[in-house]
Amino acid sequence: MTACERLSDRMPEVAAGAGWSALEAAHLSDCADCAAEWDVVRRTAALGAGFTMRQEPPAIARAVLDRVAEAKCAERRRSGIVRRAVGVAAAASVVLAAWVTLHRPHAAPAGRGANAVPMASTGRPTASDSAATLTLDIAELDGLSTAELTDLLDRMDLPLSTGRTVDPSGAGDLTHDELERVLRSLEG
Amino acid sequence: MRATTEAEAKSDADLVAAYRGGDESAATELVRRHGVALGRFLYSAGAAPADVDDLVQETLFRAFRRLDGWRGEASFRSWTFTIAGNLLKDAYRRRKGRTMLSIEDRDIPMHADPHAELAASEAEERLRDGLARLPRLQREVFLLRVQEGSDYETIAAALGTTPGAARVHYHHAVKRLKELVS
Ligand SMILES: [Zn+2]
Repeated sequence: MTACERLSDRMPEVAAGAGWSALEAAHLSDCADCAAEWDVVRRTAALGAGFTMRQEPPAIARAVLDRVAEAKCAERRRSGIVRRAVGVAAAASVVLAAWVTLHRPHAAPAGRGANAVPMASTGRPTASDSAATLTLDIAELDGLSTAELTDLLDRMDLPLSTGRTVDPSGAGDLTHDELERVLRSLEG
Repeated sequence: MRATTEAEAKSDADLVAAYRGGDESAATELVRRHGVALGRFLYSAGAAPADVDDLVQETLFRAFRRLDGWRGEASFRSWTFTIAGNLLKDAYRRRKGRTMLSIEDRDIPMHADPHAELAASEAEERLRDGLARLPRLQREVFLLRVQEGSDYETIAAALGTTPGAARVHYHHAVKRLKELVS
């Protein structure tokens, strides 16, 4: 059976201070559904009525605004770190792409061919292996001249067996100008 | 005093605009206007009394941090209530769905008739427990309607539902509370 809802819409108003009409009051005293609903509404309206905050509004506002300012600072710091990380990753990808491009047999720049050491002789994967698995074409490298690319790669072309590692923070032995040029070419 | 009077005369939207323009006293007025109602909402929805102040502050922090999220479709107060509702939902989830009420949290004031006071307090806890057990939409619709006197259009705008659905949620809440509380 559906519960009586005759007084439902009036209950929040009455709980807020408006009175029942005589007719409504008469219904309420005779209807168990409405009486039970009114009990729940009346008590809910009064719930927490005596609540007060421990601090005054100006102190709460100060604390909240200080936290907002701190959060914004932290957000700016985080986005700065992300930007730097993206820059480092981009530079690393250009260096990797340059290495791959110049070790492909069909992409060896003119003037380097005769002096190029076959990769197989170093014990590293052969150029044809690299070409078969890595086919990165980096448009940004087009901005560099053959001499610049050769110079860049000669400086990077360290046999892994020597135990030396490329220092990512210094990008190997690149001069500041060379590194700048690579990064500028990436940014277009 | 004069500054307070001027701030009091402004609408919530004017205060938000003033705060965005760098007027921090506008933020204070918003806290003064809505802080206690937020506390009542959180307490009624089942927050442990000892946590209410912190939850009010956390709600206001989230609100001021993303004021762009309030576009004025719902009242500023009901918008902050939805943020408070999200906070409570997260807290419930962390506690694996258990109600946040606990016997230790009950504040039982000294009273001339301790038995009557205890009975009243237990009835209140039963009601809060019942409210905390309702599905979120039912609870929030019911509290916005009964404690704030909001109409179904306002409630629907705040909670992202329709006035008809809000009315249905209200009546489901009443039905369940009658069963749980009486
Ligand atoms: Zn009735």
